[in-house]
Amino acid sequence: MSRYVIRRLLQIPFAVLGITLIIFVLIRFRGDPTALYLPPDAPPELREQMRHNLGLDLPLPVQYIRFVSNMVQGDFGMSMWHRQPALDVVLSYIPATVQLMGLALVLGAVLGIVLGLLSATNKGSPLDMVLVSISVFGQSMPSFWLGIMLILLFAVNLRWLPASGRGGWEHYVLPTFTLLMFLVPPTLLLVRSSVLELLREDFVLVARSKGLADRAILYGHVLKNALRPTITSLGMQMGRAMGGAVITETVFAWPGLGRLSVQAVGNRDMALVQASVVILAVWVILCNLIADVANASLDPRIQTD
Amino acid sequence: MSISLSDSEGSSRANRASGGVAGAVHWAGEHKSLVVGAAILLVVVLVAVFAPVLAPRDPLEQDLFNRLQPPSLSSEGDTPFLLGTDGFGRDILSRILFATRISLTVVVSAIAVSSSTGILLGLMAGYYEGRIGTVIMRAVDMQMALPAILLAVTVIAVFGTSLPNLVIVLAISGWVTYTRIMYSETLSIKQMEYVMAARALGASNLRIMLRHILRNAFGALIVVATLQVGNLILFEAALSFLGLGVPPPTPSLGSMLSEGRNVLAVAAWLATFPGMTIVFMVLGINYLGSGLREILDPKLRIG
Repeated sequence: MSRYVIRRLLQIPFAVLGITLIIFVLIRFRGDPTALYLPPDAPPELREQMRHNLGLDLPLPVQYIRFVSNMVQGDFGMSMWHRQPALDVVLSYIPATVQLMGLALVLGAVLGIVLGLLSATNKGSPLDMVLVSISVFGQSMPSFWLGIMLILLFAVNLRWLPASGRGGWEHYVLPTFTLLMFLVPPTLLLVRSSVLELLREDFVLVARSKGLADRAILYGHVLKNALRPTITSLGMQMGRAMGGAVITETVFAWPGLGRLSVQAVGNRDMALVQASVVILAVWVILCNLIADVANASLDPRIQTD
Repeated sequence: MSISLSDSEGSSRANRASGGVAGAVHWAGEHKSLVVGAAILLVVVLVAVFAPVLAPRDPLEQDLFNRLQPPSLSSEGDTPFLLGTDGFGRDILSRILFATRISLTVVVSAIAVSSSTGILLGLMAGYYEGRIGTVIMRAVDMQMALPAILLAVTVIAVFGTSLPNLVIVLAISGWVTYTRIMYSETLSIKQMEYVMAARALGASNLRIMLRHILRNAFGALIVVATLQVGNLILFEAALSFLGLGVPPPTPSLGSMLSEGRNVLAVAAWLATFPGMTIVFMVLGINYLGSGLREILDPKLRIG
């Protein structure tokens, strides 16, 4: 088990290197970066001087190594818009994102599993039909539209809740609900279908013929087995959740990392774009790792050595 | 074996032929989600194709005397603004019709690019395995670690917004799905007896890949592609909403919603109708996809 964890940990630097390579290649495609810093009529000597200072006259592989080693040392360059080191800006926006996303992810996983289980054990009941229809509808609806409609109803018309910004608990209600409508449906449908499938398995028949109570079968055997694909999918969903975060933060003007990265694109603030993309990607990779390790510890069949 | 196969095929064909209208109605009743989805998609495609004919006004025409007009059925002698106007006095109905056309065009082009690339790579990875397979599947892993939204942010930050860039972003986020499906399908299909038979008969690798493996994986691929149309419509709308997608002034459902959010208190219709259009389109495509799945790929059916 510990060897498996170590092997998966060792894969992380390679995944991060791959992402930095993609970013590096894309940025070099863009052309001469000095055009961003200097006016078009700047003298060529000054431009040459700047290229030298920025290390742009070095061979590309050397430039890439410098790019990566600066990043490893926490130097992502200066954010031109915020006039601060890009990493500092990114770090100061992390708490807001972690608070909102942490709440939504935990609630989303719990609700998805509980409601999926309820739906499967009451298959065909009105409750099941309502839950499945809401899930299908939720998957067909742009979450930012839901967010806007919620603002219209609860903030503009009823004036019960604030429309935007971060503050007391009431600021969390609408963004969290929007994220939940986006995060819960896939989990709910997956738990429902895997529980229904498992209930037809032989081991359930055996457990039942032993005289085990339905409740014990459900929690002792079925749920444990249904959790594995669910955990994998929750890990895989992190990328999707990131998209949800970017959109939800923008709709509700939530001062987090997702909104920051979109604003950085609008401001043509490349250092900030790089820093936020790399930090968010590391976060997604770590979440996938946690999901894999949790899975391996649940399922003895997964080869961990 | 061949006799029983042709027999059952013949009888089902006969059933359908003798059934006529009643048979068709029965078939439609059994495949409700397919029929509903196909009907919705047909409406959407017709709207997209005939947008220039159907639109009551020019979607780009500004009319500053009629800014933020609410939806109405009447106006003084002029064509009414059925769904109201936006902050520049542009007709929302016309903009929705054209936005649907643009959204579908972008998404279908992206799927054409991503599916052909993805299928080819998956086919090669599964068929040759070895070093080629490893390289391709590692690239798949890496792509999956990089969330689509982050890739979009990076690409648009570097290259700026334009329709071709949008197609590229959507295509890059989509190819992995096809590669993974095609890879696993190829691994299992190439073990089939008919593939060995074809090889024994001296068929070339290319012929086996295209005629036998690709053709037998077609059902699963069609289902995936259909469901992806829905996902990419949502993704395109989201990117345009964030200002990373369709560049203004070209009408797009996402950017209309973004403008609608800013004038929500005074002109709620601006955010309402484009959103409903997206839900209608995506719901239709998801119905069609699950209907197709029931017919083409019984393995994937969910209880």
